[in-house]
Amino acid sequence: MNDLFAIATGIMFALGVFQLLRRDMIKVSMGFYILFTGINFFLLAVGVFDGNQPAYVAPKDDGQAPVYLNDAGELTGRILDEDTGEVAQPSDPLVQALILTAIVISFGSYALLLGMINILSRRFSTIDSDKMDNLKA
Amino acid sequence: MENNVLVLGPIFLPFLGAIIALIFAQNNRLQRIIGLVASIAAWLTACAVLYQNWDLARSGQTAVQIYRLGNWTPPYGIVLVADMLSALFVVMCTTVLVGGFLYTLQCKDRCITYPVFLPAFGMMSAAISGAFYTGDIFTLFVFLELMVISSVVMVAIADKDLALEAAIKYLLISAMGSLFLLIGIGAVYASLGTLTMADIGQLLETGDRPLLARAAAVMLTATFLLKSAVFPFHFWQPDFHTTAPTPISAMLSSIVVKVGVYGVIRLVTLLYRAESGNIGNILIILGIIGIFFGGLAALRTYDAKRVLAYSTFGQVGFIMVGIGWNTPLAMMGALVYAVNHAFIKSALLMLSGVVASFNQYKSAKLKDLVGAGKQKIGIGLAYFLGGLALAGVPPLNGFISKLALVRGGVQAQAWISLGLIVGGGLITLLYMTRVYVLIFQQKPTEDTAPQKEYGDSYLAPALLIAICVLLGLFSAPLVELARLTVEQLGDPTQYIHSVLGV
Repeated sequence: MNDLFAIATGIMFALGVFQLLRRDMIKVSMGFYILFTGINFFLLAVGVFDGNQPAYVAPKDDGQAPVYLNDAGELTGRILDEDTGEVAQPSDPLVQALILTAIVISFGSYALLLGMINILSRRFSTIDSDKMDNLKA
Repeated sequence: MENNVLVLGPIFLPFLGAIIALIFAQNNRLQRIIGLVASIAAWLTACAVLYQNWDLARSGQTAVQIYRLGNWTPPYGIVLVADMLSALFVVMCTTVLVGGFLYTLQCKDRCITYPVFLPAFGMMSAAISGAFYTGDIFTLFVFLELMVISSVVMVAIADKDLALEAAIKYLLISAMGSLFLLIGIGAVYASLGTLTMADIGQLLETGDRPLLARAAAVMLTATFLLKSAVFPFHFWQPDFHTTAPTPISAMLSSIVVKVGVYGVIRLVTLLYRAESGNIGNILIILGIIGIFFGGLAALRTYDAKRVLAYSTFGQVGFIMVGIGWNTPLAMMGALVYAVNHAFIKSALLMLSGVVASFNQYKSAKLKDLVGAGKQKIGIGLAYFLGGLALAGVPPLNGFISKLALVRGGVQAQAWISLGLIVGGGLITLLYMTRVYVLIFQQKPTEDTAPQKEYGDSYLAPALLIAICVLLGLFSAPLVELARLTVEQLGDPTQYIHSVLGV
C-alpha cells in the first residue's frame, strides 16, 4: 500500500505542476487543486499505516478509561484487546486531523482562486494568462 | 508553568473584532471604529505580555509565557508560546496594525467601504499574531494560510484594476509556498512523530537525526524565504505591495514579510541549530543579492509605492544577512533592524498614499506626483524624516539598526559581506533622495498639482514617524530588549523546558 501511495503522490505532483505551468487559467486552478490533493495523499501516507485499531476507544462498561497506560502509569499508545489478549497499536488520528484542516484550507483558496479567475476572464474576455498583461507597465 | 490568558489577546481580540464587524456589515463607520478598538486592545495585551517577559528576563528567570489550548499537555496539544522573540515581534506588529486601522478611519479609498474589508483586515492581524505566538508547526501553516487568503481578498478588491492580477499571482505563488511547508511538516512528522516546535528542536538536538527531517529544513527555509520575498522568490512582491490599498500595502511591506523573517530565526535558533551554518551561508548570499537588486531596482522604478516595495526587498536582505552571520551581536542587529524597519516602512508607504490621495486618479506614479507635496509641509517633513531613517542617518532609528548590524558583522569577522552591505546601504540614500526631491521639492505642473481638497489623514504615519524618532533618540530600551532576546535564543533549553514542562 505504501508504494502505491508513493507512486500516486508522485503522479499527482507531476500532473499538478504541469497544469500549474500552463497558460490556461482554468487548468492552472485545476493543477493547484491536484497538487493540494497530492500533498494530502502524502500526509495520509505519513501515518495511516501505523496501527490496526481505531484511535478512539469508548470507555469500558465500568466507566474506566481504555488501557492506554501500562502498569507504571506511563502513556504507551497501545491498546490491549481484551478478547484476544493481543496488544494492538491504534492508528494515528493526527494525520487525519491534519488532512481535514488542509482540505478545508485548500478548498477555501481554490474557491477564491476560481472567483478571481471568473472576474479576470470577464475583464479580458480570455483565460489565456499571457494576454492578461496589464502589470507589464 | 501556568497558563497565561494574556497570550490569547493579540490573536483572539482582532478575530472577535472581525466577527463583530461582519455583524455590522451595513454600517461602515462603525466597522472602522470596531477594528480600531480591537486592534488597540490587542496592542495592550501584547505589550502586557512583553512587559511580563521583560520583567522576568531582567531578574534572570525564564521569560516564557505559554497558553495550552484545551489544557492538553504538550507535545500532545497545541500550545501558544510567547518567548522574548515572539512577544517582541507581536508588539511590533500590533503597533503597526494600530497605525493601519487608524489610517483606514480617514481613508477615502472606495474598497474600504466594502463590507468585507474590515473583517478581512481583522483576520489578517489575528493571523499575523497567531503565526508569531504558535508553538505548533501545523498551526503555523494554518495561520500563514489565513494571512495569505485575507490579504489576497483585500488586494483583489482594491480600487485599481491591476490589483486583481497581482493578487492572483500572489495567491498561486504563496499557495505553492504553503504546499512546501506542508511537505516539510509531513516529513518532520513522519520522521519524528511530533509537531510541537519545542519537541522537534529537542529531538533533533539530542536524538539521531533522520535524513528526512533534515531534508525538511530545505522545504521550511524555502517557504519562509518566499513569505519574506528574499531574492529568488521575490518576483511577486513589488506588484503585490504596490497595487494594494494604502493601509494594506503598508502592512504587507512592513510586517507580513516579517513573518518569514521570524520563521527563519526560529529555524536557525531552535529547530535546526546544527544546520544553522549552512542555512546562514545561503542567507548571506541571497541577502546581499537582494540588497543590490532591490536598491538598484528602486532607483530606476516609476511609482512612489513601488520604490518602497523594492526597498523592502533590499531591507529584508539586510535582516537576512544579520541572521546569516548568526553571532549574538549580529542576531541582535537583525532583530533591531526588523523592528525599526517595520515602523519606518509602514510610515513611508502611508505617506506616499496620503500624497497620492490628493491626486485625481489616486495614482502614485512618480510622473503624476512631481511636486505634489510642495505645499504640504507637514507631510514633507514626515517623509523627509522617514527617508533619512530608512537610509540610516543619525539620530534616527535606522542609524541604530545599521550600527547594531555593522557591530554584528565586525564580531562575525565577515569583512567582505560587511563591506558589501555598507556599500549597499548607500543606495538607500540615493533612491530616497530621488523620490523626496521629485515629490516634495520640485515645482508642480498643472497636471500634478493636488486636485482634491481633502485626502487621507496623515495622523497615523505621523505617529509612526514619531515612534521612529523616539526609537532613535532613546534606543536603549529596544537594544536592551533585543539583547535579552538573543540571550534567550542562544539557550533553547529555556524555550523547550518551559513548553514541555520538564
